[in-house]
Amino acid sequence: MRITSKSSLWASLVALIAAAFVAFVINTRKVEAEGRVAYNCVDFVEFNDPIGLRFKYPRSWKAQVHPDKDNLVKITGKTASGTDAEIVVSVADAPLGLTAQQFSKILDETYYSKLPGVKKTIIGDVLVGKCSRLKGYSQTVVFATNGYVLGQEYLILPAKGKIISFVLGAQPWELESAQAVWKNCLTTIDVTSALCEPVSQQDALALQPRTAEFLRSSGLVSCALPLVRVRKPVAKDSLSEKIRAVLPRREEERFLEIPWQSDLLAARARAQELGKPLFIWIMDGNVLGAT
Amino acid sequence: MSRVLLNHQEVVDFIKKNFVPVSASVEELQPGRYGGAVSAQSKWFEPIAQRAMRQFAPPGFWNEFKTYQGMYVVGANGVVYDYKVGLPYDPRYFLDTLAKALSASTKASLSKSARLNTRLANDRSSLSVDPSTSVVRVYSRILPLPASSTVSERSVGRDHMWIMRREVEEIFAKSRGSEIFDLPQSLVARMVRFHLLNHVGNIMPAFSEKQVKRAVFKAKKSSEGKLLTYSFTGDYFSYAPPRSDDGGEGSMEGTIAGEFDLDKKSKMVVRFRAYGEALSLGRNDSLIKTRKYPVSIAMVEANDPIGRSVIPFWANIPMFAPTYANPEIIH
Repeated sequence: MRITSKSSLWASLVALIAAAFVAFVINTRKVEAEGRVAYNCVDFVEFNDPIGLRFKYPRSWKAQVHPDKDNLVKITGKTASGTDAEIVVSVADAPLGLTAQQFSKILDETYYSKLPGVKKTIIGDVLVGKCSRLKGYSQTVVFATNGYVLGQEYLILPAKGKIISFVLGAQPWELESAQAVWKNCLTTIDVTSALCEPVSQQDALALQPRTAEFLRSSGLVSCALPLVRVRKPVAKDSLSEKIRAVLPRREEERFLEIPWQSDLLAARARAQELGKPLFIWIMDGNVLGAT
Repeated sequence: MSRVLLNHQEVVDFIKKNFVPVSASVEELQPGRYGGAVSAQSKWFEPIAQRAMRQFAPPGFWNEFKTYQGMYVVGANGVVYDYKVGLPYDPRYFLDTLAKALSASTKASLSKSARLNTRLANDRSSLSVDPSTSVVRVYSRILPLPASSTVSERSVGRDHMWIMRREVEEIFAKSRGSEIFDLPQSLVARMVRFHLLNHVGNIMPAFSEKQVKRAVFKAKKSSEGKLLTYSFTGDYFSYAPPRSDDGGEGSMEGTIAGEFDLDKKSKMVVRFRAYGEALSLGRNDSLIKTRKYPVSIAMVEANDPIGRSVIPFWANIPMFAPTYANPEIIH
């Protein structure tokens, strides 16, 4: 966590944990059956640290263990819209009983308060983890530094004498595109009881509404990902067969069932007549024609 | 990503039931950025888009990109109820988002303040497909898919390609006999520079006239009646060096073969069928730029309403439109 290196207060709290990295292939079919398929991958690998922390991330993302002296692992990859994002995980020693909110305040005082244009959105306590009963504290911070606007989404997980931080970093407008990977990562966190205890059933029940909202844009998709299996044509296939292999299948062209209008003002008149709002889809190139 | 989201059946049904859907290109609605002509549509839309950017866009998005791309829910009176860009593939989340915007618009009672200027409502976009121009739809697909393929890699690239009447006339003139002849240079250049590209998941930047290193396209008349039928083959290689333009380093190398029917009287393409395979590298922002992708490309005639009304991607960008209509290759 780069921000901590700039803070003497924080430096006094942090003692870095040596890590080992174990990655293994998760059975793809099993993952799909669980419905836990992130948008840009069909399989996951697991990060496993001897401290007793495990979680999964997409195989297509790259993990760098101990990228610097402050962080346990940095995982980088592409968001749904194709730009770069990273998830950085840190484990720091902390006084017993230090809450996530107190830790967040330390971050504010030692780092964010020195930056211009900081916009912070507190999501609050939520449940994460494989057992869905690890209480974490989530917040989003957008700030400008060196002429760039950056976005970070935090999940602060208080543990026994430690603070575990998961930080999603991306350009602010890419945070949403990265939610699938991010939330998938958070819901697969697994810790030993020596590191962190799950909350009681009663506490978990109280946090469920907010957690449901928190995970809503999770990318833990509610339906199967579109994967059209297409055989590459071979030389002996006829021209028609070769062309048919490339043409979109019905499920790839459902958007054409929508009665799109291309004249905005005519559509506006129609919207007024019907008392319905306009749904306007604007891309570079009209999407009815171009990609 | 957006198109994948809009292929979800519940999303399709929800939009059909509750909205008046509009699809438009940002080049038409944001002429100030793309150099196009201000239209009645853009005049109405620009203030709406600016409000959407202020109220709903992710922090910093407008300052960084200055683009109106995205999805809007807007009342006929111009009130913006939601704006999204860069949506993840999560149909449930998207449906909830649409439902919230719909609810907000219903509460606002759309019809009260909407006053239409009938003169503006009749002012259509200046862009259109000339009746003399033939349209071919070009599809591209990565085949076979790499292991652990992304949604972008799995998607189908699309665009429309124009064949000009003068090019049809040139083919008529060149094919009086039964000899093999070169396809018109402008048609070859348009195919190689703007259409034989890897548009899977995103638009691949076009190649410039000097970046086409090889383009050999031969055709032969195979039958003659009311329609003239031709077969053709093409072999091409384009390469853009690093930092040559915004697209960066990249290449397309491949072959294509197909056949087409031309109507003598109308001088239009009535059937066009072609299939090609290529290796693509770089330039497509949604794909891994260092990976060589095997791309299959298919072309079919597009004499349907969408083909006749939606402009090819590069023709729709004012600064490229003249080049698109009459492209060259300079060796």
